[in-house]
Amino acid sequence: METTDREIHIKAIAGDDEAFLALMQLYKEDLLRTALAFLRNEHDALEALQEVTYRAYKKIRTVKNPAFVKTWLIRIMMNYCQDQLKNNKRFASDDTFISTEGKEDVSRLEMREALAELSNEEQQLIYLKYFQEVKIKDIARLENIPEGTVKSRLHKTLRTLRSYFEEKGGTGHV
Amino acid sequence: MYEEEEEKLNQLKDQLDSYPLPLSEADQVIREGMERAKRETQQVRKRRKRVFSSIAVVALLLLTFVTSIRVSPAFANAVASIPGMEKFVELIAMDKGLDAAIQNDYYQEIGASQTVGDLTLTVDGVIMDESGMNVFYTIDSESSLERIRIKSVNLSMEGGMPEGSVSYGSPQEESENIRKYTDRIDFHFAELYTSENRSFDLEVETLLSGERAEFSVPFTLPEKIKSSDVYTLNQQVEIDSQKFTVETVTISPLRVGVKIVLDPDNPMKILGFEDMRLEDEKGEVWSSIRNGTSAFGEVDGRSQTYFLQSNYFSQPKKLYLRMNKVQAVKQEEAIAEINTETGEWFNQPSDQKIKLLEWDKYHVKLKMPSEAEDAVHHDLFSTITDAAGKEVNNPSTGMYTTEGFDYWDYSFSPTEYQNPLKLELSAYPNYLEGDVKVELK
Repeated sequence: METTDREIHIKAIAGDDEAFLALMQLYKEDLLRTALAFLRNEHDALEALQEVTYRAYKKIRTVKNPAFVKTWLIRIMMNYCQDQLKNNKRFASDDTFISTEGKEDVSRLEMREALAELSNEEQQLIYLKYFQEVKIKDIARLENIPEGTVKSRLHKTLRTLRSYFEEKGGTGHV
Repeated sequence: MYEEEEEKLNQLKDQLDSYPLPLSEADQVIREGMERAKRETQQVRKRRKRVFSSIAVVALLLLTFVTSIRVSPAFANAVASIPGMEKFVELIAMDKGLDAAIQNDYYQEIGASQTVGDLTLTVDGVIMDESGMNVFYTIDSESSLERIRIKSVNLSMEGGMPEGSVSYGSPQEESENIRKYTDRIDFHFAELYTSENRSFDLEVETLLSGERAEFSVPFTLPEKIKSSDVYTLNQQVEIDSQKFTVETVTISPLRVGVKIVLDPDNPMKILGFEDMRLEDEKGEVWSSIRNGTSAFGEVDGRSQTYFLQSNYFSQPKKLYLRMNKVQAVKQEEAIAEINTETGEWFNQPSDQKIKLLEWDKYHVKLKMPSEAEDAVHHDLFSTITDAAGKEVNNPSTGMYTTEGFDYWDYSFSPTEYQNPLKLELSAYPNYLEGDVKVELK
C-alpha cells in the first residue's frame, strides 16, 4: 500500500515516529537548499538540518493544517538560519561556499548582498515566493492575512531591492 | 514591474538549485536530531523504565520531577564523609531509606571503570540488598558530553540475574561544558536475590554525537548483602467495604515491599493506595517510593506489591502498616470505551471527569481539572485493546498541566484497529476513605 504525502503529514502530526522520519526524508532537499541559501556552507547547513529536525519533532503536533507542513518546516529552517547569522557575523565574511564557487557572477553576488539588507520578514517572503515558489495565495493562508497584503509587501520588498541597486550606481545592470 | 529584480532572483534560485546536496549526511543528522528530541520528550517523565526478561511482571512507576531538593545538614555531613559521594547527594536525598543506608555505611565503594574512546565509565559504588541494586556511576570525558544519551543498561552475572525492572535518568542540561555525568541506575528484582554471588557486570550503552559506546564493567561487592525481614501477615482488611489481604511485608535496606491481594468480589476496583505507609510507635512515617518503581503487579491483576521507603535501619519497638485512602472505580466502569472516529464515549466513570478534546485513529487528547488536590498527575490507562480484543500499542503519551487542567495525549499504533477502543483505567480521581492499621510488631 502506497502511503501518500498527505497521509505522512497527518501521521507525523499525530506523533507517529516513522511518519515523522518519512516526512523529514521527503523535505530534506528543500530544507538543505534553504539552509545553503542562507548559511552558504555545507557544514552549517547540516547542523541546521539537525537542529530543525529536533525543533520540528518537538512541535509537530502544533501544526494545524497538514497541507502546510512543508512550508512550516521551511519557516523553522529560515528562522534558525537568520538567528545563526545574527549571532554569528562571521558567516558573512568566512564564505567558503562562495569561494569554491569562484565564478559566481557579479550580479548574483550583488543580489545576495541586497537580500542581506532586507529585514528577516522580507527575506522570508522573498525566499518562499521565488526560491520555494510558494503561491501568494498559500502564503496568505499560511500567514492568515489577505492576499492583497502579501502582494503589497512583496512589491515593497522588490522596491527596496531595486533602490539598493540604484544606489549602487548601475554596476548590477547586465 | 519588477521584472529585472525577479529575473535576478530566478537566476540566483537556479544557481542554488544546481548545488550538489550532502544527502547521505543529511539522513544521519535527521536521525540525530530526532533522537535528541525523543530523548528530551522522554525526560519529561524524568526516569525511564524498562522491564527486563519478564512478561509475568508489570512495573508501575511513580515519577518525581527533580527540580529542587532540600538536603538536611545532618545528611549532607554524612554524605560528605564518604569520599566521592558528594556528587550523588541529589540522587539520594528524596528517599529516607537510601538516606539511612548511606548513614549506616551500607554503601559499598567499588571504583571499577572502563574507558571506551574518549569516555570513561566508573562504577563509584553500589547499595545492594535482596530486593535490588542501586548503582552510582559517573561518565567522564575530556571533551563535551553534551547530548549524551543512555541507550540501554543491563546487569548480568554468571547464571543469569533474577527478573525485574530497571530505572535510570538521562542528562537534563544541554551545555557544551558538561564533562562529567553522574547518575544512579536502580535494578529492582521481582524475586528476592538470595545467591551468594557478589560479582556482577554492568553493561551500559551510550550514544554521543551519533557514536555508540558499549561499556562492560565487572565488579565485585566487598561485603555481604543484608538479608530482608519478612513479615507474613495474611490479614484481611477493608476500606469502605472493599476487601483486600495484606499477605506479606518485606523490609530490605533499599525498600519495603507490601504484597496485597484484592478480593475479586469487590464492587469497586482499587487502582491505587494513596497513602500507604509504615508508622512506628513515635509516629515516624515511611511513605511510598517517589522516584523509581513504585509497584509490581502480577498479570492477573489481583495481586500487587507496593514499595515504600525503607525503615530497615531504624529500630522501632512497634511498627504498623497504615492506609486511609484508596483510589477506586466501579468494576463496570473500570474500562473506558471510546470510538476514536466519532469521539463517542461508550463507557466511562459516571461522573465523567475525563473530557475528550481531540480524537482520530492516531490519537486522543484528553483533559481533566487539575486544581483539585485529588487530581491524578500520571498515566491514566494501562492496557488498550480494540473491539476485537486485539491489543493496541501506545507508542507515546504526553502529559502536561496548564491553567487548572491536566492534558493527556495518547497515540495509538497500528491504526487499523476496530473501534471502540477499550482503555483500562490505571488512575482516576475517585477516592474511598477508611482506616487500616495492621500491626507488624
